[in-house]
Amino acid sequence: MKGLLLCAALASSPAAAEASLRSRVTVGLESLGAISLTSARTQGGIGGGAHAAFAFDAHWLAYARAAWLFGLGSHTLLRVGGGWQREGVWRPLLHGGVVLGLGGALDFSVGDRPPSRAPTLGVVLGAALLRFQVEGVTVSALELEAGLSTELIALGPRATLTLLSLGVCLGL
Amino acid sequence: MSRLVLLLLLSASACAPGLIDGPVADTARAIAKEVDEARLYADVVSLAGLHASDTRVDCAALNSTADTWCNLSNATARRFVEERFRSLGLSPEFDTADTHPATSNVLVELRGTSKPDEVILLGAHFDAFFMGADDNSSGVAVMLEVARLLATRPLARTVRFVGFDFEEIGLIGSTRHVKARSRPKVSLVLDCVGYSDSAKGSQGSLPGFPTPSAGDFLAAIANDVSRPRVEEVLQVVKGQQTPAVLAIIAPGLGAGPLSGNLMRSDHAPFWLAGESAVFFTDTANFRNPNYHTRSDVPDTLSQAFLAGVARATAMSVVAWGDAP
Ligand SMILES: [Zn+2]
Repeated sequence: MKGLLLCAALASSPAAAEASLRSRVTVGLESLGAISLTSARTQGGIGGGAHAAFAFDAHWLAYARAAWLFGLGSHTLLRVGGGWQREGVWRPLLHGGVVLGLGGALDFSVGDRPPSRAPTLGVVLGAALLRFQVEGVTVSALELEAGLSTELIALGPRATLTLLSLGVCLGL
Repeated sequence: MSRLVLLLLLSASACAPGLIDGPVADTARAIAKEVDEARLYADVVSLAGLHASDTRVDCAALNSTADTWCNLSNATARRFVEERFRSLGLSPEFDTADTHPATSNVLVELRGTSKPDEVILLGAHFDAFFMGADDNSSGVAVMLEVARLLATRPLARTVRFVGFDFEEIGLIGSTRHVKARSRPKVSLVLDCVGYSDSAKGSQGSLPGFPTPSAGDFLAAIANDVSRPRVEEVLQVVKGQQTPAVLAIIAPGLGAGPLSGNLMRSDHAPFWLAGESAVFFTDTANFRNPNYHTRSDVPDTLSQAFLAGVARATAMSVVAWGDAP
């Protein structure tokens, strides 16, 4: 039943098979910066956020992240996605997801089209290579995420750098 | 669910419902067609000539003996604006105050026919370094041209024309105006509106500003409060004889650290007071190599561009002034 070993370091625990729902859930905080650049919108800033992840098994997880960023006004960044993580103390995570940016941005008209009032939408792939887990506590540094962004007028690149992320398994 | 989200997103991205309906837009466009390109340029030449021969501000009193600061003038340009208002049958007011140096905005109001308490403000600063052809004789000339077009044809709302004093020293005139006067429904500020260059690479920019590479567009700058007004500008100038208009919306009030370059003129005090204000500009030093130098002279300007800006300005003011 190793496949059920989840966010808490239960890999060697005899209780693994009875891993509760709580032991599948990690919550945490993170500091980050993000930027989205299209010809119709520049949205970005630095700030902090919170995240929650649910582990399906020892490798696969789904996450939801919310962040509040300041720089070009202030905006809220919501991200949901899923990924694969290595088992062990060194726990690099590869993931992909969708992004919703709500709030402050520099908006531009493009041709005859007025500046967009839509939220920023994006798809991203990410890698957290400096990610470690010990006793149900996850620490990750310099996690990079890159992808595409749109405000329904133009398409452009987006990137997020999570400087530091700390997570704790609820099943601890 | 996903269809609902898509619907919401599409409706959010669509142009906001326009206040500028057919007849209002038609009137605005008809009035804008009366812009007189030769008269506009002649006014720029006159104003620049006045700056060239005007008494300079005491730069030592400004704690600067730099060439630029010792070539700042305002008095005869203000007199030119005053006389032009009088020649249109209007009675200009002044709001002199000893602000070290003393400032005196010059303003007139064309009373609205049906909503006289609602004010549309059109303003441009008349102080200038050196001859100040682009900065800001161009803006003053456009303001005077729109005043000429509307002097005999009042709109539903009151239109206030303001020559702002000492923008260059720190937006003194406009700041005083915002503090002292009743709040306009919307203000349109003109600063540097006569320089155009269609060559690729002629437009400078900043990181995060995806501006075209050719410097031949008019920037219409707003913040979140004035976003609907810029949408109306885009609506009313569409298909008309104006430069391409690039609308730029700063987040919030516009005062964030990364959007500070969008606040470098007399619209800024309106923004900071939470009021609706739009800024028309050729982007000044991001395009014009003569900015704040001796070479900011009339023959570096594009008469056609200036006339196009005057049309866009007239259309915007009439649209706002007559909108239901
Ligand atoms: Zn200026």
